Amino acid sequence: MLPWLTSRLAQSLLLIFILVSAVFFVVRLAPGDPLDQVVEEELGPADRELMRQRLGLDGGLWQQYGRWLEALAHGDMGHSLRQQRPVTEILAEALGPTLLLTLTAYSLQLILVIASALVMSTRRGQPLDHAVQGIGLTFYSLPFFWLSLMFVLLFSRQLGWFPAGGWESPDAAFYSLGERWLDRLHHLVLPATTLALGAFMGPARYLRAGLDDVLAQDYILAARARGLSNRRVLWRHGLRNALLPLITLMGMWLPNLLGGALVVEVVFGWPGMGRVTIEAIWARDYPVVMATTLLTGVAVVVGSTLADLLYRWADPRLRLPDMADSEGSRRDAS
Amino acid sequence: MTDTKPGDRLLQVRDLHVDHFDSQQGRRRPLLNGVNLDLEAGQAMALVGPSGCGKSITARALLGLLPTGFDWRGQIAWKGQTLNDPDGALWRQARGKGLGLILQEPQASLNPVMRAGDQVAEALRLHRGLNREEAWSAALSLLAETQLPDPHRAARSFPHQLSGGMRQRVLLAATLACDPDLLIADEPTTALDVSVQKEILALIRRLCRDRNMALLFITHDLNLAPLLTDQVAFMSEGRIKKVLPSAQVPLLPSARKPAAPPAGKSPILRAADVSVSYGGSENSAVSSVELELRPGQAVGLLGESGCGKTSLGRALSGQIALTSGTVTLAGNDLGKARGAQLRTMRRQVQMLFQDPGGSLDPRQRVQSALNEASGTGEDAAARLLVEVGLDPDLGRRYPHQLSGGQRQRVALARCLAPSPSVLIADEPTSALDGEAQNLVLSLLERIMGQRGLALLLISHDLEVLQGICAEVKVMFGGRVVESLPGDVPFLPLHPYSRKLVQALPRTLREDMNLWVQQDFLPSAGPPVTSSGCPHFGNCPLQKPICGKELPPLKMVSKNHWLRCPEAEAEEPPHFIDT
Ligand code: SF4
Repeated sequence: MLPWLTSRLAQSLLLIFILVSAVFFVVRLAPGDPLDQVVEEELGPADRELMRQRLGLDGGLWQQYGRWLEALAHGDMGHSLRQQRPVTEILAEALGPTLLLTLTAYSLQLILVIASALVMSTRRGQPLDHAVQGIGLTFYSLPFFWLSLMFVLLFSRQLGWFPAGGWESPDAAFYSLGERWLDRLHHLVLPATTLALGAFMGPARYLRAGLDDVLAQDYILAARARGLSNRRVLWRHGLRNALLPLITLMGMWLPNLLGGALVVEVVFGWPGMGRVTIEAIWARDYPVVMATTLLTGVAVVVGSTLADLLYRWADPRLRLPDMADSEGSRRDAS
Repeated sequence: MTDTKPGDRLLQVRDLHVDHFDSQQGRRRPLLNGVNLDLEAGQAMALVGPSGCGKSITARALLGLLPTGFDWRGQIAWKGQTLNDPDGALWRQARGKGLGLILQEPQASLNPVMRAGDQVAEALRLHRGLNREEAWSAALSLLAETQLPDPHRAARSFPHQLSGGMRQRVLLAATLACDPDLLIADEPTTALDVSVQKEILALIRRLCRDRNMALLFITHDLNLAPLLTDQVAFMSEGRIKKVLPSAQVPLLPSARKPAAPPAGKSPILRAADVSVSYGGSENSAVSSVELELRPGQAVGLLGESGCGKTSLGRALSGQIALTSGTVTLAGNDLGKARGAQLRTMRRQVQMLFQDPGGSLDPRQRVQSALNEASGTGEDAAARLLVEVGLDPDLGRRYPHQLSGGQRQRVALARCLAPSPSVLIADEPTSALDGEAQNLVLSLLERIMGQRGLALLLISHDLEVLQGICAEVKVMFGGRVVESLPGDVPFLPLHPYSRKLVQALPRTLREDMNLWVQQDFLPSAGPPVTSSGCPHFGNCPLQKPICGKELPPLKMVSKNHWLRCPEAEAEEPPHFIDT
């Protein structure tokens, strides 16, 4: 286990390093002087040079790369050109809301995935199966922005059940701590549901296929022949095994959800990473764009590393070695 | 242990019909057409028939566990109570308290992510209301009852850490946890090696006696059926055709005739001192094997799983690298060939595998697979299909539209497409049943003669090799321990070869005492030491010297070589003529 873990982590670190470098070079090698996007054209050459130094754009490419790596290592991601403050500060503010939104949506999605897969698999071909599939596929095929807009129109404008945007009420500063969180949850419902509903059918169909496979296995038959209840067989023997391949899929899905969050955050005015990214792109605020790109990339690497770890922990066949012996079933390779 | 007395009526099945509704084709296919079956407490009955005759469906119907799309009608009564409630509560009760099932593939019958002990304990907690610790210790004693050598360790293991025989014991223990009155064993040993098969069968037989448990033993092997049972029911086409007392069931004659004696052609493939080991481990999968294949002749490799026969086959076909030794094909060293020469040589040696489904691309039509393999550009598919005795029209089908036997013949045709001079067939019939097995074997024999093909036939089953192979090499622990003509009768001298022969159902039927007296403990694997005889530690004839020095392969008579000085003087075992 330990050698595997070390090599897996080393691999992830290497990936992150490559990612960091790629982000740097892609942005810097793009045509045009980034300085032009910040300073007015009529600036004199001396002032330009000063500005260049302050922004860390002086010296050769490799020098700049070295400085960028060094700064990153110290947790410094540069200054935002537009907001005139450290990028890390902006990210720190945005990270909380984004994590709240994506993790809620993620959990919600997981519940939807498991519940709908169970329904589809056990009620196969029955009306409930068709209903779940129909609803799920409809949501799945609608673009996030449209879905978000419809939800705002229906639940906020028409019915007035939930606020239309933002992550807290304007007067939230006067609330007590408990009230403040209740208020946030109230704001959270619509964007989180949109995200979860819009994406659950993909993994759900995958899980359903896995579940169908597992339920056709001999060990399910053997477990039922031992008189175990259907529920126990389904959960303990069926779902437990069918969930294994889903781990990898959900690990890759996490960053996908971040992508979805981008659109949803903008529509709902959620003050998270998505909005920061979009605004930075419009304003060509490249240190911020670089930072958010980097963060999304890191999320991908972390997601897949976590999924690998979890898979290994959950599947003893990967964790524990086979016992070498000769008395075996014939199908074992000799 | 059970609360029934001998003679109590356990199971009564009347006029059982099962239909399968095929929703794709929208029609109904009858699988069982009125099965009647009676079982009393403690009685043992075998259900024998070819595959597709409905014997497994019968087992599932008796348990109320038919897959979706299958309907049944008729009457099934368990201990006098008719099982007919739609929500299945009575069934579940009967399953938990009276009916047990063990299945063919012990790997697939255990939940791969649950410890063996937990799977046994689960049923104990449910049915006997034990708490966690009680259930665990009861599970340990059940595992001991099924003769697992180290129950504590086995209980903590996951299924993949156990061998096939041990998994089947775990499954038995989990089934015994319900304290069944009737054990339904559906081909419980078909996927196991012969010597393990014998141990498991002996164990089942003993458990049935000790626990006064009735047995319904489902098998395709007519010679196996009477070993465990008092009565044998013959099934075909969804009906029980007749029931015979076991003693009256005739011994199924071997379909094989004596092989032609080796002729003096010069070898096309020659393996000298071939060794293979994996991952730099010092234990070789194959050690110093010598072998010669001649045109128009077959050599058989006989051995159980882990003996190195598959590794040897792959090494000879150039698929895995040799650790030492040489393989020469028509005088050219396979290990030294590169580029175009290597590719030509690879085409000269073709391999046929056990599972034809796995070796054919499911999305490629048969004819395009065959034409691709022939590589000449002309349409060779029809000719090849005729050669393997198939209708050329089958070329338009996809592999899944063929039966298992047809698929294996298509796989054979594909091996023949590049006109090889050597064919290596690794367990080519193990996935097939009786009739298809014989068909493929006689086809191999015919093609070998017609094409002058050199054939290496690898099998765990002596009866597959007998009659085709001029020479049979018995492998154990990576070494050839004996080499002798594949005659009928087969007269080996080596203690391991004799143990193999004695575990054959045919031999067991001949001499029932032979296996009733045997102990049930699983044999240990080959020793880890690389010096000494591989059989040391399991051998009835062993001397201390055997563990230190590897005996040489010595000629004891014409065409008979033996690697055991102790057995040279032994009388050949008494063995059946057919
Ligand atoms: S050499 Fe010794 S251990 Fe090996 S088979 Fe012969 S008697 Fe047994």
